[in-house]
Amino acid sequence: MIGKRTLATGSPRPFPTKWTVGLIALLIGYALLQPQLNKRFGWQLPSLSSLQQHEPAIPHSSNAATDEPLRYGLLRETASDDFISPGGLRYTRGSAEGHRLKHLERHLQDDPDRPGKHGVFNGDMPQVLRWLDEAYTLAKRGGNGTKKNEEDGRTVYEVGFPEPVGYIGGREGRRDNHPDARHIRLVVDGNKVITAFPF
Amino acid sequence: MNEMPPSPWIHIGECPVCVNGLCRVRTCTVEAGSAHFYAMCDECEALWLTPNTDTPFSFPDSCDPKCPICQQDLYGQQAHWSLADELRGSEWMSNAIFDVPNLDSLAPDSLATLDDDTNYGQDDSSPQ
Ligand SMILES: [Zn+2]
Ligand SMILES: [Zn+2]
Repeated sequence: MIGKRTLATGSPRPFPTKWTVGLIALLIGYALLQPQLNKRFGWQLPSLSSLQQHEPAIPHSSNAATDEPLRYGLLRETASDDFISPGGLRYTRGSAEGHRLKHLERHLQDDPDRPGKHGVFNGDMPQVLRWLDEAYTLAKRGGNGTKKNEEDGRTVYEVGFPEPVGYIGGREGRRDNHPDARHIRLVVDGNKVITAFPF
Repeated sequence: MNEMPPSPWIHIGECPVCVNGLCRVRTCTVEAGSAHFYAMCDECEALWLTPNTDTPFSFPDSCDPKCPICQQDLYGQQAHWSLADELRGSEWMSNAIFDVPNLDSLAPDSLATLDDDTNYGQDDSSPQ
């Protein structure tokens, strides 16, 4: 035990300065290189800050009530491949990609070859899902900066945000130098998400 | 199903419902082998039976989407984004827009992005 050892030796042996300096240099080097290595090689090295927070590496957290994992730390799976958000939006199978969440992921990156506009979100999936909940709550309330249009069972909500939530990609976005997008268009069938993207 | 996106993009314009969606032409085949065509918004799934977005549209059932013509699975193996050759002799050939990727999209700085995103428009209906 450390206490015993301290008593036996009188005082703890000081940590050599050169080791301390070396360790700090190592940590600084890791902090600088970690994002570059991940980007360059597609690795998933954790950042120093995430190591300090002891967060799980996978995008799941725990639902205290049921102790079931939450998809992206937010969505509770109510049936197979059927997820519900804290704001009450449902994400189910569907779309050409097979699942609405997969379709949504298409809007996390640009598609520069696509004719017209392609809305690209700035954040990652958890951030996007939180924005969609926010947009859904605001739009249902019908507040300022929101629009609602119903078409044969589909509802199209448009919600303005004070800050950019993404940018305009696709061919038209590229031609216009990728302008900021400060609105979200959310298409739902009841509470089931069909698609959502920034514009 | 691992269908590569067709080139050029074949569509009948931007979607009047969700604005940013592209109303892309799809080919669906019945068992006998004859094909039929319709347009579908690749964002909100609005469907057109004629190659004109000013004509009436409908939406498929969001849980159990069916082809608006033959009622087979909308995303089944028998259906895919149309290829130019398939449309020959149909009204879609003369009315659809054939959007060929811009040459500048093949500039070196954009090649990496294109390589990363070759799956757009895949009909992958497998559970995620
Ligand atoms: Zn649409
Ligand atoms: Zn059909």
